[in-house]
Amino acid sequence: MTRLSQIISAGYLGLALVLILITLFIGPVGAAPFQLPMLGPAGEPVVISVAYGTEKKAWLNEAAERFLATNPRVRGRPIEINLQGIGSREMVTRIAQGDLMPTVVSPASSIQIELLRDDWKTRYGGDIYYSGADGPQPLVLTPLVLVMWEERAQVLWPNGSAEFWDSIHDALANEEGWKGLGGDENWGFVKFGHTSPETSNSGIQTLVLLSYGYYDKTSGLASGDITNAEFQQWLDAIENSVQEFGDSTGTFMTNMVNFGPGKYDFVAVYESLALDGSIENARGKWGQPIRIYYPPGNILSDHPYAILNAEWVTPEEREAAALFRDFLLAPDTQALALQYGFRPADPSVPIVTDDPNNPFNKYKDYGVQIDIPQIVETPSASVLNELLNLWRRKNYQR
Amino acid sequence: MRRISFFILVALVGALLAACGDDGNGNGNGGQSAAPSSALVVKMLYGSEKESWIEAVTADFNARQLESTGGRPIFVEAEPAGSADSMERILSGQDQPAIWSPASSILLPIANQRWASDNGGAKLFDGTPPALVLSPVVIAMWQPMAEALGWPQTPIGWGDIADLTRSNQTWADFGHPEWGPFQFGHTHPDYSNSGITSILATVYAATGKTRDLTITDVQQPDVAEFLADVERSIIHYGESTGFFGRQMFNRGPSYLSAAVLYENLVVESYDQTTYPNRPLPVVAIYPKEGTFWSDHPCVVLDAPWVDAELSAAAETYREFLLATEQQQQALQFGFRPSDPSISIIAPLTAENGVDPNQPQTLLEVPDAEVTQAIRELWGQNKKRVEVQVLLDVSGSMNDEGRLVQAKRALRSFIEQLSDEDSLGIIVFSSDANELTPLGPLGAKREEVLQRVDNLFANGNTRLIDTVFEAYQQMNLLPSDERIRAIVVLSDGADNRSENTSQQLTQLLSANSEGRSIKVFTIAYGTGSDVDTDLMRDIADASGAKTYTSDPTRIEQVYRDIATFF
Repeated sequence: MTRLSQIISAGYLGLALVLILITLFIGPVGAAPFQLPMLGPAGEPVVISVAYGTEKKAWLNEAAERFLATNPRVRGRPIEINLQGIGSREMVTRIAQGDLMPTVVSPASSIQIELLRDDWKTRYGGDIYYSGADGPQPLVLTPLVLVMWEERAQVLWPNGSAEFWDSIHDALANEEGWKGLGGDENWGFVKFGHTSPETSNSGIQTLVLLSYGYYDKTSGLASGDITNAEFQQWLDAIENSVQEFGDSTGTFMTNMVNFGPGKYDFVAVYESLALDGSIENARGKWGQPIRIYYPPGNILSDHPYAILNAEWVTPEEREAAALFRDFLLAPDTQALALQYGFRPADPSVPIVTDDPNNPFNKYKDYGVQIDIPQIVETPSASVLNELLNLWRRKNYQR
Repeated sequence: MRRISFFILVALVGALLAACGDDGNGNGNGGQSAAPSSALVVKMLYGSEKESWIEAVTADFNARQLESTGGRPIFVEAEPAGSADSMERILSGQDQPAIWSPASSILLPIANQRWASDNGGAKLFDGTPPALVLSPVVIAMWQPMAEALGWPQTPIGWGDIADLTRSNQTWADFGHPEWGPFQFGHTHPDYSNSGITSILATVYAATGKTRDLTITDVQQPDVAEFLADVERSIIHYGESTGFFGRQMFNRGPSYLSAAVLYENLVVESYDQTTYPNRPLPVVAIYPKEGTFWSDHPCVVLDAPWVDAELSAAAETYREFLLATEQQQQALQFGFRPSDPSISIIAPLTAENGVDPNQPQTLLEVPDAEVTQAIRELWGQNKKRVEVQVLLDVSGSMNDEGRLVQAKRALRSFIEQLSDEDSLGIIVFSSDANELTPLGPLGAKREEVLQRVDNLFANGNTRLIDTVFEAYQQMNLLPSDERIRAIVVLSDGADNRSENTSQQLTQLLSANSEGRSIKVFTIAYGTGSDVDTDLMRDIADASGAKTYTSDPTRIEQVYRDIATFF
């Protein structure tokens, strides 16, 4: 054997490898005038199911369509994607119970990822996620905001929203409703809506922000804070006034648009839901100004994408899921998210562009802010569970 | 929170509904062509309020012959039904549709809960099903009457309607003696969603509250009095909100001054094809204290009879209903699309009596116990009925066991009346005989049931004269204290009367008031020589409803008639 033949064989090997890689990532290469049908299991598609928080449905659907149009393959087999929209909290609860077995979870927030990790470990041992490159990664970002009819916001916060949560507490506790606050008698009682923390991520986030709001701090929420009787009494006044806790934030914003100020004076929802056109629709439908209000301490939903390290996920499915994730994180797909009101997770993709259809330009008059002033520290899983237990014990849902 | 409790109420209500199937209008798959033999048939049961929209878009869907996952053309068979009724039919397994779409989502949790308890914890469906179309509950009133009350400058509420009826005021007090008394209508709360909302709203008005209603509130003596006063102005009840709308728009302001309806029915009243003779414009009043919404959720059932292919096909149809084109079409039928991106435009405009910027306030759905207490309170204070039953016992009633079935059905009809209701029964063949004179049912219930059991058939059919006499006799009774009705069952053509059918219908149509005596007619028997045209004319002339029925369905017909009382 000479060096020459070694070089030639290495060259062939290298070329074959390159072709395989191109085939894997881009699709089959080369001209094949006599197409042979794919034989046997190699032609079977690799199906991945993605359980995702419904808020990012439109973006994810569009992205998946674009991804599939690239004819993606794993080990020569085509990829199929089954997108399953479901409330973020419900999703992780059902996975822990063995009732839902997707390839990938993408809830609205890392909070849910951590709660599932915890729950899984306790129940079955081991980590439900991979670490490293296939570990959970944020796809897009969006803060929690209040969407409120502007006229009512002016009555609620006549001198600006410095006393953000305290004003809300006092308004909800007011026996006379809007009339007692100097508003229109026909507005009736003050009506606040947020989702159930048991089934929806934005519900937990609201509870966290309320807790930080009561203590007027942005970090270090501790167990003792939750057990404090005065805090609980303060929380009672707010939660007892909520008439109906929705399950999924997406449906919730739709209801705000469809049912108008008769149903809610203000709701806690993701910024992205307001910016997908909903806020404009709400204004159009009910003929009155409506606006986005940012709580002084905020919390981001980071929409992590996590491939499950579970027995029902095959190596092919894991590979396919990773390909889809990389596509979602590519700059073009990230920029596409803007159109749906999300902030890109990739900091190199700018939020502000010169596109007039970019909702961050388009809805300036509706109060959208580019900079989020202050992000609160995410409490530990045990503090979160404490909050959830309190909420359950108080039976606010009734 | 209240959501959970409200469905317990619905369970109680629903339990009463099991057998009120056909509404007697021949509803079914009207206007639908037959499924191709190779088709995958997707069955849907849905709330009848949205019938016209569903019929239109479903015909379009079926024409497309979209393929199922198994490669078969998908064909949807959609059947309208009362919402609570359809729930009972699904839970009992009597009907096995792939899709269920009641008028309101308040029924969903109870359906799931009851299904789970019968099926080892399995769910009937998962998640929150999407709303198809939306429509608020409104008080529909003739525009000149609303204006006489100060509308639109002065907002009108449930309390104002209650005051109007309680003060014994008539339209003369508002400068219009020619309009007569204030006549009000809402459906039966045990059968219909809009009926429940009506009595909840009345009790809210009685307490001056708009939320946090308690049992103590409901138990106040003046609340009962208030409710009874309002109910006195009711012309009759009924199972279907749509029927009320049709009656009002066809019969005009002398029949009904106002009724509790859905907004879409007000819009529909401006459709010249459906209502070429509507005498005056109608407006939707959004009560100032608040109201309720109907949201028409669309559920793809997760039941054993729905396999993967059927489920996927049902999903395809649901997506079709939610697609922009069909959502936009819903506007044409007076509904608000559930797609939030579609603007509310014509025909939902002031010209058609509605205001898309309303309702601005809502009433809170009370806790289950409170709603149950209100329902019981209504049962004690509802308007009572004076009903004369006319039963054909001619010889042909022996055919196909007609009399046996009719007696059984009459028995269950009597059981649905309360002790305070007044009942009389006349049987007729060659002549007419009083089985029991009109009078309170309480004291004579057992005796009446016994007498009904002992009936046998013989002789000819003296139909017209019997109705004539019963009507004249009942007309001597005061008109405002009770609902007055005659229920006629016959299986034959008249061959013994002196009066003509024209004379009878003239007599009946002389009084077009809502409080006039209603003559419900049942054309009975398969292949009998009953004069269905005459039976229809009699019912129409009096402002009531006509039915055709064979012996197997007669019990349902009597039950449907009972919903008017």
